[in-house]
Amino acid sequence: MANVNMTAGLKMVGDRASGVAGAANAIAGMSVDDNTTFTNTDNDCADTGGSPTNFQGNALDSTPTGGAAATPYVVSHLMTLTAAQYNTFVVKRIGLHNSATPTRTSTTLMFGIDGLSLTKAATFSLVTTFKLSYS
Amino acid sequence: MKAHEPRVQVEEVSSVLTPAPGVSVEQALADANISGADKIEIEGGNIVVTWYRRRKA
Repeated sequence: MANVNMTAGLKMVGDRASGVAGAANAIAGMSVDDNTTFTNTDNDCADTGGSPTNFQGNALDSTPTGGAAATPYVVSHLMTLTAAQYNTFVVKRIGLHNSATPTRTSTTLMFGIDGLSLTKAATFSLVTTFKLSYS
Repeated sequence: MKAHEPRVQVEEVSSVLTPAPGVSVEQALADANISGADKIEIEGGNIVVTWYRRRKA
């Protein structure tokens, strides 16, 4: 199990915080797919390991929420896979995107985790919470 | 002079599996065939999986 901070994601955060011209959009979506690993230089979900065989990208359920004004400051991002979505496929990576409609090749990948395994089935829905901390 | 070193990190990633109507927690857990998780718990009829949690120094 590993978490990966993409270089592109860190740049996005820095650009938006300082109002750099041309800053990317805010985090707005999450994806799951069945590739094995992420690399911190990935810009999209088809970089490391090539295009995933199975991929599902969704908008976040709602506007992200921030925790208490403390250190670290934690922001939560939630995404639901319904009972009908992504079934029979194995989730091996979860990615956070600055798009509400991420695709395999959209250069929207900001942060991710890999090394997990969950077979999505029609017998359950899945809500994933991806928390980032700023300290 | 000591400077603050700000960091952006993945704090925690978790998933909640809610069984579909008429499906037992046990069936949903078996179907999910989970591995690679830091922790798996059953809470209020749901399956709570912690995939990753930042290790605090």
